[in-house]
Amino acid sequence: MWTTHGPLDETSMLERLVTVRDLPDNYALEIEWFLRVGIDLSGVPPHLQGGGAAYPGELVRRDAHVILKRNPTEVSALAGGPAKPSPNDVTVGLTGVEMAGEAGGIK
Amino acid sequence: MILPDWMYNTRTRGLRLAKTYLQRFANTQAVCTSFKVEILNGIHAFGTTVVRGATTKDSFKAALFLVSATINAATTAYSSTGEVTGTGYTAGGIAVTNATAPTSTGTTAFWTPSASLVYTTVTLSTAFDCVLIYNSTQGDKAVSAHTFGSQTVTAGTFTLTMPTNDATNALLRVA
Repeated sequence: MWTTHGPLDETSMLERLVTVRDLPDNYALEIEWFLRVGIDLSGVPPHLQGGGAAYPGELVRRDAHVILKRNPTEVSALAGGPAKPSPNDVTVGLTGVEMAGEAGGIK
Repeated sequence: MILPDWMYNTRTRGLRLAKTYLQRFANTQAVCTSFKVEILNGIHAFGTTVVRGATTKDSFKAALFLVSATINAATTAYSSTGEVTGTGYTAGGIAVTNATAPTSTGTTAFWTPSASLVYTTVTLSTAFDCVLIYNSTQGDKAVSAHTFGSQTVTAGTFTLTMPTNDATNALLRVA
């Protein structure tokens, strides 16, 4: 039931093991599964075995859906997904310009 | 005098044919639309021009300018005077994505960059309201200036989206 992929650092884990499923709010991620490697897998806390909320460094079942509390832009970038727009982002629409003849000339 | 139907109809048809004849051969003063597109493609040179090393298109860039700057129709080339400065922004601005060649609809030739202008994760604390499109292949010569509402950005991505690429809205139009 439990799988290890280590030893990996957290960045590698995010790149290789985490699938970002959704960004439900600014500071939480719902991910498909998250594994911490390099620890005794037999010591998995029972309350995490059914999935649910988990935080960096915590171990959960491979098939569990978990919430990872982290800066969403950073995590989605590490996971290879599109970055979620930051509240600080600004988008403006440009308008075009026209080159036309002078009045009385040929247009 | 009242004409019989056959005579009346024949006269009417004759007038219509004459009108059609005149329309077909009427001349109309105009700037040729193909020429307008070719201006955008650098085909014609009425004055001294440059030696072009290849038939490839030029590269264009987009630089942001402060509200206090003076960028307008009189601008001849990019200069860093009045340009924004800040974290994440490089003087000279960013490359313009140009994957769509100039074209025309009706009598208007037009061109629009094929992607938004995106200044990723910048902090621009002094208000700015203008972007200058310029030709970085040809000595940074100016192309067009576009203004927008005054902006500042703090650790965010600043995006300028493009208008619809048509004869009415395109970023650069020759009408």
